[in-house]
Amino acid sequence: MVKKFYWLIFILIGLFAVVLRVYRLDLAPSHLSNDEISIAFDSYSVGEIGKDEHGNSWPLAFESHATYKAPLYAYLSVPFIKVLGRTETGVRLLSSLMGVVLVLVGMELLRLFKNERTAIFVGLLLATNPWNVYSSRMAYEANLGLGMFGLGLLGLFYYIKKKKCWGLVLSSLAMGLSVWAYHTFWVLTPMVMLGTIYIYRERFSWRRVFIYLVMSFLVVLPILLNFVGSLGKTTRAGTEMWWQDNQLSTYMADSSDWWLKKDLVLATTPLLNYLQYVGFDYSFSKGLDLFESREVLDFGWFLPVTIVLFALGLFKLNSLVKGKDRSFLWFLLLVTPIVPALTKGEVALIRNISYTLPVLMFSGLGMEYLWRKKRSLFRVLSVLMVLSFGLFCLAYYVHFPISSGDRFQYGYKQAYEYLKENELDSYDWVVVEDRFGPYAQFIGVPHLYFGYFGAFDAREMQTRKSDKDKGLMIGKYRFTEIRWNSEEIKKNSIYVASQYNLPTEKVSGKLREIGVVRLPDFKEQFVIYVSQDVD
Amino acid sequence: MNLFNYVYDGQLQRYLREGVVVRPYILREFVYGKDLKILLVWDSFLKMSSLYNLIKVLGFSGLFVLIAFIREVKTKDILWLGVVLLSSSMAVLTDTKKSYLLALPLLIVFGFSRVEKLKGKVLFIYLLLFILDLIVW
Repeated sequence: MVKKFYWLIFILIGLFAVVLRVYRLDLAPSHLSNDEISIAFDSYSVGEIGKDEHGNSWPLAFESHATYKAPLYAYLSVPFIKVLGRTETGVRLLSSLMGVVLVLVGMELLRLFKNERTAIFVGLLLATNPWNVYSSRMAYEANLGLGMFGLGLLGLFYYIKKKKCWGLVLSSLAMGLSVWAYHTFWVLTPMVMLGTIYIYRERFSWRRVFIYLVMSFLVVLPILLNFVGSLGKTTRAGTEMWWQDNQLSTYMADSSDWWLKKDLVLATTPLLNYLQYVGFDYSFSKGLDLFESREVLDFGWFLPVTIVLFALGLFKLNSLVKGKDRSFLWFLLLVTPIVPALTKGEVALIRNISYTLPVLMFSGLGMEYLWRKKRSLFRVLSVLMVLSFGLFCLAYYVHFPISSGDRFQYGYKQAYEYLKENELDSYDWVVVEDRFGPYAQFIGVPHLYFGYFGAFDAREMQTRKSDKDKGLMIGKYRFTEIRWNSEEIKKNSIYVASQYNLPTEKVSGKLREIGVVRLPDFKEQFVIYVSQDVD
Repeated sequence: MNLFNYVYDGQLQRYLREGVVVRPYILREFVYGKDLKILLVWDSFLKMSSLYNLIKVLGFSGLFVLIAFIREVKTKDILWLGVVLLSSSMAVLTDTKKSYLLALPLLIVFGFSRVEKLKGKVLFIYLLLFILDLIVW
């Protein structure tokens, strides 16, 4: 029965995944985030003039916020932005599609490992997975990387299980592209490729292994050459390793502890990071961090009920999967959090994105066990799954876009639209405050938002000048922290200032307030002023 | 008062038009109802039973003993630990950080009752980790 309708169900689950990932893509999240706008502008700029924001021609590493981004997302988004325009959907759609690809890849992998029914269980778990939905609705390079990594695994298993040689070609291409897509896969992809070949070594001839590895190597060669050429500065490996963590590096430099203790603290940090990344609290309760302050309605990387299925999958694996497949699943589960554990900072959802796949594969197997052995518990858990997924939808699609505006630098796009709609962008000078938040404590990138949404084009961005006092100047736009006391109010000027930064007495007579940009929860974000000389 | 008198924001107006601004604040009442406070208990429970938190309490060596002899854990041990963790998650006993103190006697007894099995390679690793604990923590 399940076998007969498998492909129909496969398509239906794919469509369901599309709906969850594309519905209101421009509204939830409510604004492009810091990382997204950087990718969006670079992608638009490369598509227009072949240069990124900083003027580098066809870069293989995009400079961004004191670090570097992998290049694939920006390049693959070019046609999307050309067709859909400079919009949120234009830059996010690629990620959404890769999220759907991952759902289908997960199903196919489980069909190869087990059977059609388990594949359907995994498909449903992946389609409704909070982590995958969240990351698929944002322009995350990591999500593209995971999609490519999943395709690479699928190709490899088409060869291992069905002796399809084209699987190896697909795998080498997709695994190579995962390295182009996100830095986590620089280490994870080769580890998983070599580990899988080792586990299933009887299924490979040395000739095929050699060709497979050479093909993959050729795909990543340009990235490697770029890395070597820039002495390693253009990757996260140069900027994001755990020993570069502020707290840790300060401790290492300033603490009076003896050297052995310091070295051991340094050495054990990745292990503690690893344990945090696999912690139950992040996975099943709070890892998604949808809301600024901890709310009851927050979610983990997986729906809460998944913990039962995951535990069953772990404990009953011996009876569910045989021999090498069992070793592979354990290997994948243990190896995926290694790379994020080697990076600095707090637990980051996006670095550990590849952990989704093994956890949900185990959970799907747990569901299969319940279906076979404990049908009544299966029903109870299914109902709880549906309920918790409903709660997640409420939190994500309804509550999250409204309460999270600040985290997404909400207001810069709206401020520009206000100027455009009221034909105020024809003024001689437009000054935009690059500080935002309740106390103007965050530094934003308004020049990217204004550029991407149409204030100026990619060529104008190349003419930008940076000044310590005046800020960043692009044509008539100036992006800076506004200091009213030293600000010279020119004729025909517009100011978009943080609501926290009210004009001082010295300038208040020269300005007239004409509008307020509010966050989706109605709190004021920016106030718009014009110079008094103009009506 | 007309809240929107002074506001320009196409996206916000779309939220208003489609009713999504008002709805969540009604639904919040449901979310903050006493039944769903269980999510907070759930969060504390998961946090306390995570390996990262156990290592903070037991150290590397303590966790090693626990894992090395996990097969010998008796049902009553799990029950006691479960009661401590669950009641602490509900803030019945004390706050979540201090609650481990109540579980410690069990873990110490568990460790000592297996002392005779600490030999050979296992003893070597245990001592190594114990020294690591002494230095690091």
